Amino acid sequence: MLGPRQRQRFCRDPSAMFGVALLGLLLVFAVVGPWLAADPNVSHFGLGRSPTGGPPGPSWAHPLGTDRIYRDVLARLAHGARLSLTIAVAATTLALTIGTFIGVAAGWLEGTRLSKVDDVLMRVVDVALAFPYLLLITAIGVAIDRADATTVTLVLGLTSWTGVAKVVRAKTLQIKSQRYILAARALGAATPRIVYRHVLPAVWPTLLVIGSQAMAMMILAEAVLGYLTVGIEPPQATWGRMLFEAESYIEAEPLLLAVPGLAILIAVLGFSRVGDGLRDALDTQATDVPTRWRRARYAADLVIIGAAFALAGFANDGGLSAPHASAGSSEQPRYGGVLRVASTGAITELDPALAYDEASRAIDDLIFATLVTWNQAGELVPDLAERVELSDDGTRVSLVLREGLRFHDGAPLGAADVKRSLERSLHPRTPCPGSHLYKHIVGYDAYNKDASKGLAGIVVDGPLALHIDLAQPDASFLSLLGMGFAAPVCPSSGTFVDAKTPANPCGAGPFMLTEFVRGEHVTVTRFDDYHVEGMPFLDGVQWQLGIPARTQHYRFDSGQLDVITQLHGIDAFRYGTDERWAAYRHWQSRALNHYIFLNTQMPPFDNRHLRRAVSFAVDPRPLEQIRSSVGATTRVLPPSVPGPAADEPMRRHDVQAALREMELAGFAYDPVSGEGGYPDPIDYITMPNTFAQVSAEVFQQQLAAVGIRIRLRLVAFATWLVVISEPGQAAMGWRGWGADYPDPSTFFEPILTSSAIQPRGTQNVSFFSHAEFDDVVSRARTEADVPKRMALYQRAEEIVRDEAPLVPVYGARSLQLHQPHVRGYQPHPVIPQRYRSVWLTRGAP
Amino acid sequence: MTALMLVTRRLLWALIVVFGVGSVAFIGARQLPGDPVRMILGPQAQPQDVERARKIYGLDDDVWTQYGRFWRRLLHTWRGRDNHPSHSNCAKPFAKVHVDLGYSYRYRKPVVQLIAQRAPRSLELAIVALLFQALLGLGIGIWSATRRGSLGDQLAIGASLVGVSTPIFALGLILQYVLAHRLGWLPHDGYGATPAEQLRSIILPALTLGIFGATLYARMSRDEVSRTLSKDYIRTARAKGASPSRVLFAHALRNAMVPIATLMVLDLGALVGGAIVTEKLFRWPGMGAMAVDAMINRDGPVIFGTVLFSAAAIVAASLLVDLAAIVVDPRLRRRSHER
Repeated sequence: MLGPRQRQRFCRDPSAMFGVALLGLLLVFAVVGPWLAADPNVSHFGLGRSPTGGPPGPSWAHPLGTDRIYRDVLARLAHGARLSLTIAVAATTLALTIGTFIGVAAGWLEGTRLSKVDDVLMRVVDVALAFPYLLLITAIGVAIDRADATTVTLVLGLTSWTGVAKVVRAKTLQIKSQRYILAARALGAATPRIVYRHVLPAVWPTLLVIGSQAMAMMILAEAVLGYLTVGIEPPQATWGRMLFEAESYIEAEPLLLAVPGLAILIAVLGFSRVGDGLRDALDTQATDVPTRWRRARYAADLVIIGAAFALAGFANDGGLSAPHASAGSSEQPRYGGVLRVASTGAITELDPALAYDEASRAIDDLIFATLVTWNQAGELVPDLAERVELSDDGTRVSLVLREGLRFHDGAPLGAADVKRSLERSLHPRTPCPGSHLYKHIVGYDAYNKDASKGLAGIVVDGPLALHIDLAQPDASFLSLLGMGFAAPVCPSSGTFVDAKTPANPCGAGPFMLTEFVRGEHVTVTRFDDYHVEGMPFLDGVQWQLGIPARTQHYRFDSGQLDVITQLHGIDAFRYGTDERWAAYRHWQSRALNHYIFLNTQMPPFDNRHLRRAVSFAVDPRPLEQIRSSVGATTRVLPPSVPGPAADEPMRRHDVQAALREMELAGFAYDPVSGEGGYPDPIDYITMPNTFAQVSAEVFQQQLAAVGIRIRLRLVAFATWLVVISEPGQAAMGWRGWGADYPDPSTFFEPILTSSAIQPRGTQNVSFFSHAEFDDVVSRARTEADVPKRMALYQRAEEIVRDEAPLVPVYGARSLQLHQPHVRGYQPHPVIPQRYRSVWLTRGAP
Repeated sequence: MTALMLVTRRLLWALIVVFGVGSVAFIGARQLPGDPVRMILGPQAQPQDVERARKIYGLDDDVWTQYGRFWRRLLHTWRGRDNHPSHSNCAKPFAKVHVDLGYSYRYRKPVVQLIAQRAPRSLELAIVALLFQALLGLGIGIWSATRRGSLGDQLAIGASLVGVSTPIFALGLILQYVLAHRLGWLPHDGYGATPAEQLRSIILPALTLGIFGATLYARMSRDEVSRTLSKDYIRTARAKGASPSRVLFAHALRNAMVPIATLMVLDLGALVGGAIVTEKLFRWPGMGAMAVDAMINRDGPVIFGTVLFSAAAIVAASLLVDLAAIVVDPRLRRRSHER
């Protein structure tokens, strides 16, 4: 490796020795630390929140504080050191091996009969260099299917050998023409022998230098990889994971970011200095690097590390700014002004026949008016319609529209337009995501086969009157008329939605679309002929799309946004507890619930007792401590959806009961000795960098306590969506479901009835098939009497509790803040955000 | 072999490399688990509606049919009507030559149009980032080289090391927090609506990339400059009374620029294809951000469109460097003659 003279030179270099010392320290920390520190994967929910709303800070028991799920940071740092350094060493070795092999082969064969091999190898290097990093790592991650230490090592190694290959090839070319190689050849030495005895030793010093630099790069790359969601499987800690998990705490708990950041800095510095020392020691040309220089390098290192520590120590919470003073104080609504709003979703679709997500629903609520809508109390009331009647047998809806209605383009709005608009959404050539919800309209199937004759079940009775016939009674059909799919659209919108060139959104809502750049922003302006007298107050709304929660908060803080509804958990806590903001905030409970699904058709959860054990063992209450916008739940229906009385919890957290169920399931577990339990680890599928992952890490600890060991399988949203909806693919995992409209049927029917099981893309991902449940839910659908209907849904909740195809765990509420000059804003129970009656005290800017 | 043949050979290889990357990307993107139709329709879409939409969007063909169609359509000629519906996705760089990269149902636009819109923005960012990178790197490098070995030299080089030892997302987050949020000097993110805003908006992402990339430039320029400073001809120039700045800039730096310029061309090629993390973090509407979104949404045509484009940019940059080397360095030409 190194000659004696080189070794001596290396040892006399204070800076290199400093690097060696830093690495030695890390090595000791990585080897000894995990033995001394606490368990890195245990949450300490007994500790309260810190005053900032984040996890508890440093204390004697936890000298570096705790992370976002209350785990000891020092312990995680120590275990992270082990993993991060191991990965760095392994990945570097892999990259060096591949690079050397290819480089030597290409260099040796260059100019020989086999020089084509050199050409091809170098082009392979070009392809690898030209291949986009993101696609490559995702592809490798998918091919191996599981992100663990091996995957990450492979990904890092396979993406970084190209540089090594180029350098080694150049070096080989240089050595090949040396006299002693020619001599060895002339003496008849075989190629492998020459390569082994002469080429490799000559390449070795170069490799050492590259290797020590690469080591530093690998630690960083692992951090970035985690950020791109191909990281190590949680709950294992790496420095990179610790760093990006602290992302949203940059303001409130900067220490969480500083600790792994400093660890990475020390490692990078250590490896780089050793690399520099090696280079100086091996560089025969620059024989005399003055000692003075090396001393300076050593001093500089001390200054840098000192400065970094000082900076980390002085990082502090900037605090929230006070509400910006409001200009006017009148309580009379006034006209004018443009409201500035943002959402995280990069909305690319606003056509009401195609749009099907929360943000576009809120925007469409400005542009489109519907026949019926929900008032602030969550009751269905007529909007464009003047009268709506449901016949006694529940199969005919009769509607009479208001007089004098107009579309944004000036065309009058009559009964024929209602029929035309519904037919447009349900047209077989329209890729509408919710067409099938309307399948009970008479003639739906025939219309789907041949659209030329129109939808028979919708009959126009006069200029303003029409009725809709249903093939079977449907207690929730009126709600469907309040959805965007049924919103009347301008005559210019066409008879179906052309998938390639959809028409511009145009309806009869309070605002007209003026500009829509897909994924970037939407601007709407006041519609003067809106049918509600004197409304709206605003001149317009500017809606920015795809703005992350962090920058939304920055913008709101500096007064560039008027309303904010999407805040990071920690920011929501800070605004939610700040007295200065008390008058300008609302908590809105969202009609959205989160569950653990258990696949009832595949092992091991075809065993009912094992499912019940999960349902008893899981306790979502600590999640409220992690994030203030989360509410633990035990029911399928979220509290904001009108359902059976929910005074009593449906399920209780009971470890003893869970252990009994384990015994009944045939996997008795002794929590004291830790013996027994389900023998194999079970995969839990969820998405990386989401609260679903955080909750999974908590459930993982709780399930381990009753003998069920789960492994987190983190996949991209797109993957999650297809994997869970295919039979026999996912045993358990996270799932969420939101209400299309406030009615229990939109929860129970699509996600738990046996008729919802489809060969492809089912929403019943538990593959739950239960005769009594099906019967109860279908009777509730046609039951017009509300108390009887709710009793049926209460029974449905009980069946879910007893059979446990789904374990309801938490619901969400969001903190909605507005600036003091925004008036008349109330969270709406159904529409995610409704700005129809908002006004601004300062009017037009 | 003449220089011309050598150049042709190199060009042919470049085409083969692009074809290879494109093919691997196409098959790879198709094999990713996930359903592009469901990603357009939304997670709560009815399964029956998803199947119907799949036919409408024409995504029910098998991989090989689509693969064949992709390469056939990529570059073709068309003598018919210009606005013929079957050529609505095409860009028309020359009279009858069409380039077709398919259609994105997410953005409801032909991919060529998307790239034509996004690529210039990535190019802008790449140029400004390179400028920062080179200024910062060369500044530190020259400063260090002229006082080689002092504490100041080591501090400057050490500080540039801090730049690389921060993962780029953390560096960006911190810069955004400090410069945009706490101090309010720069816009938080985005592209900006007016040229003045755009000028201010580009600073943060470019600075993030620049700080991260400056280390290598600093080290290279320090080594190159201090090596040339110890050469005989510099000593001669000094002896003839040239001022220190003239020695540095007219003599030493000129020689050091060759490897640095090479590095810059290669970096430019890589950055035009999009800086994934930085563009995403600062919502810079360039190729990188679009590539990430396409991966997330399994938007096939945009995936291979962006892959093909960035591969072409990287290959073009390295081709440029190689060709320049052939022109500049007569030894390379001679060696090929001997073959």
